[in-house]
Amino acid sequence: MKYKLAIRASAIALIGASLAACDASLEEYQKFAKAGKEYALAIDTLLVTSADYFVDANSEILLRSDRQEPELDSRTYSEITATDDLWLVLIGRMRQHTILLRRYFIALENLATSDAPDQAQQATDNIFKQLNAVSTDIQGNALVPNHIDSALSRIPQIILSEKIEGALREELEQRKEAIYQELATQELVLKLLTSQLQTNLRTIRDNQDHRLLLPLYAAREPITNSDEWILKRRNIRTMTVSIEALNNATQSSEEFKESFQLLLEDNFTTERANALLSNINSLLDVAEEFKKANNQPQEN
Amino acid sequence: MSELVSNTKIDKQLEFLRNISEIKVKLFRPGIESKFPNREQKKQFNEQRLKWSNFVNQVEIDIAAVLVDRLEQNEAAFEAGIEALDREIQEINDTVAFLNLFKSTIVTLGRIVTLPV
Repeated sequence: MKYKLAIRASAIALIGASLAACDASLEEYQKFAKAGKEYALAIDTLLVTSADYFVDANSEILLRSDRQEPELDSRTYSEITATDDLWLVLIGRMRQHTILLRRYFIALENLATSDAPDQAQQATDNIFKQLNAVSTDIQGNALVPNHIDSALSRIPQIILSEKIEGALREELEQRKEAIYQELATQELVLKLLTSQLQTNLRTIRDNQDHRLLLPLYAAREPITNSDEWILKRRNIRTMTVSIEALNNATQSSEEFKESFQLLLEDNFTTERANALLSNINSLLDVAEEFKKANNQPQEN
Repeated sequence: MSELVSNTKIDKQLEFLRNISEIKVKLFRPGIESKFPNREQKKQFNEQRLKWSNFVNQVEIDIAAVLVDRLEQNEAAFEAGIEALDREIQEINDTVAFLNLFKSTIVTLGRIVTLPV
């Protein structure tokens, strides 16, 4: 009887292990979900920065025009402010969507990182201990010997891990059209944001140069506070340094799409998952850099 | 296939946006106004570059509006996905809760059978 139990436990454990080996492992699903979560965060950071720079670039243009043509009427102001509002509404809608996307990947990560299999093993261990204690009390010997119960108590853990992997796979299969469509559109959103940030940063840089640096330099008197002027000039002229990094980091969208394809084809390796995470982190770093640069005061 | 055509169309619009944005940046270079010594010409230049700037903004807004619509079409699918994943997590937690309940039942059973008669 005990021998049969041991064989059955080993067989179930073996089937479970071999099934698990067929698909992507939980670790790979975890990394994919984490990459998705970070990707959504990076996009959100860029959206916030884009909204700020859009308004700032328009403010610089308004100031520049006001200095050139002081008689410009309030119509110009209203027209430019109207485009600010339209852009901000669209950014708001994109952010709402990105929050939903992040929630989706967090739910995916929650399932992939669930500790339920370990909890199940712990619970089953305890069940066997209690059963043996009761059995010893009643008939003087343990119901299930120790070397068998350790194999048996792994079964719920294997089954639950299998169930989680199966559910993750099924979920991604079911949602694959939406995820492909999403990643393809996000790639275009990133291209738009990169182009827009590039234009607005250069517009802000050149207008601030015109407003804060050139008048002091072109004045008849030499610049009195040279160090302050140099610092201001450095801050303004280096504003666009991160643009190149953003151009490179936006390739992570393409990488994400390819990784998803590989995950569905069971070819998503841990190395690939690590490379994807590293690329997404670069995008997040660049997005954070932009955000910080935007908070840096130019007039000090 | 239609998806691909649509992406290509947006890619072309983005290319157009990059080109007109490049011109916008050039129109605001520091000191560019000094190239117009005539007062009236300077005024016209200022008005035209404001119009150009607004045109670039409008093209950005138009592309973004198309992208936002496309993103929002996916929202029902992601909401359904979140619901399905939460349900799955609940089911798995229920299994663990059942095992813990089973363990407690055995503990109670053990206490009952070992009670002195």
